[in-house]
Amino acid sequence: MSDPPLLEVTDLSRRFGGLVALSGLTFTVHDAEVVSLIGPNGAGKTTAFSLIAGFLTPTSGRVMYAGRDLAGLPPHRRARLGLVRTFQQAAVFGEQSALDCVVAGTMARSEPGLLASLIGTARARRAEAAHLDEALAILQLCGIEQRASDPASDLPYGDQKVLGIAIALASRPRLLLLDEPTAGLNAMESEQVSLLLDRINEQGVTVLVVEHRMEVVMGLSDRVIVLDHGVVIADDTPDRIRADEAVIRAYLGDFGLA
Amino acid sequence: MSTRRRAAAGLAISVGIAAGLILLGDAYLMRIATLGAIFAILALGLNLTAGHLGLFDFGYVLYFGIGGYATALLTLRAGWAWEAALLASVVISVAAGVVVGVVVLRLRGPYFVIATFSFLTVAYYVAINWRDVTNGSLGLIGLPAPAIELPFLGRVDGFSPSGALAIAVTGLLVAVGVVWRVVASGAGRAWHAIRDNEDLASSVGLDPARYAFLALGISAGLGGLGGSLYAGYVGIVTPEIFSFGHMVNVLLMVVIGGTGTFLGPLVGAFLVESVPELLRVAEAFRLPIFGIMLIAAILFAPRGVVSLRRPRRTRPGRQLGSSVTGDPS
Repeated sequence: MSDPPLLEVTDLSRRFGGLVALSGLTFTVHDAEVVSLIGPNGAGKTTAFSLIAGFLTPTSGRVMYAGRDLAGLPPHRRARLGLVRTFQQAAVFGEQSALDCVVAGTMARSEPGLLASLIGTARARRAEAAHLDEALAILQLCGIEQRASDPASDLPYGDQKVLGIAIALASRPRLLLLDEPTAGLNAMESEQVSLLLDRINEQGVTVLVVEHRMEVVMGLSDRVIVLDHGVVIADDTPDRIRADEAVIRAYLGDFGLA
Repeated sequence: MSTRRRAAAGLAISVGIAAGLILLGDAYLMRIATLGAIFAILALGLNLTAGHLGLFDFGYVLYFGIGGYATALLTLRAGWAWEAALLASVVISVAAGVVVGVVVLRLRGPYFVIATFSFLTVAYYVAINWRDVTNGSLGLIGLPAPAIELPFLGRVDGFSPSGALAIAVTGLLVAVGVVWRVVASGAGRAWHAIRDNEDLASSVGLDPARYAFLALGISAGLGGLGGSLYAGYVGIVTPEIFSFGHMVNVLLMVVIGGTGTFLGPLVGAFLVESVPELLRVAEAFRLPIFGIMLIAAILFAPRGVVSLRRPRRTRPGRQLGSSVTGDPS
């Protein structure tokens, strides 16, 4: 791994008043990797995501992405650089149809620009049609194309979570941050999400995922980073993480080693 | 496509009603229709922010007043022609919207509502107290009546009831065209995305601030257009143009008609303008009637009167229906 990392998080900290949510988080993600961020509840995983995606400002530390310091960039600017996050709760655009939700995800990279779109030039209309086709293809990739015309808020929870991933894909991410993509899903649904993430990674998208289900984490990841109380306690391949004493202690307490 | 057809049908009906009233020659009905058309422009404008973007601009008639005062000052004090004053009023209102936006668009929810309402209140007291410019509570009197060239009708003059109605409907058509265009464009999609989930919208690269400015700017311009037409129609501008009463009226039009829909504000404007008049009740009963209309709308048509026509969306099941095309309603 001689290439410079795609994402380089250095000494990232965030305090909420007296509470230290994250302290000195340091890790890297390389192009085309799948990296999982795991840790007990309250370990600071979602905080880390919000800091990387620009929804929170770090108390200290630095986020470098594709060789560029992201300090001060708002979320939408980071998204346009290809750094896109999803949300832990199913996040969709209300009652808009599933297809419209995904089209909304394509909007920000609309080539003809706002003015052309307002005037309704032929080029803007062609771009709009292309976005519709692309959105449909993304729904197909995610396996929810039969829901295309249903209002997003009427979809079952599992499909809403998948739709959230589809919306993120529509913005053509280079690095996709997934915040607990299988939370609240049953075993079959989470297996499908796991397969979907594999497919997304095969298309060259780098994936950083916060996840609780160990079968998903172990099956999917090239590397696993373990957080506990805001600190990295392990960063290794899935096999080695399984055997790591510090990790077992963090999850199970001293019982785990007895 | 279906929305486009619906909008065209709505317009055809509005123009038809206006033409019918003119042929009928009833000055009283024409007056109601004229005010209805002018306030429909405002309802369309407020609906851009309140309905499509999801921010309730509680001081929206600020732009109505600014448009009205700008037109009065430019025609009476600077001697401008009415058409030029109207265009300038729209530009000034848009500029005002952008300036107000710098402050209020940092805020969300109740804070946005309070901040916008504060701007309106300040404008009201400025209009009362800045006597050198606004002539205080007495207002600016004796605006020249607007007159424009229209296809088929020739030169129409705002002093006659039919001319005033034709001018107001022309303004409404322009407003409908503008709103239709922006809502059907990418901007409309972006507004809906930001309204439905701002964090998600920004996570896929949409800039909420940019689209909010766009919505507020266009909505302010429509407010200015309405204010300019109103000032030309009634011939006088007083601080009451900034009154909370107008604000409540426009809010009722949007809520009763249907927030975030295309035809809702149009239908709401004509309902709110006409129902109390057509019942021929005294002015004192206006507010109770509005209250009853609002309660009825919330109870029986929480998504507005226009949502009554089509029942809750049916499920197309497994096939891709025609609703797959971009439907901005």
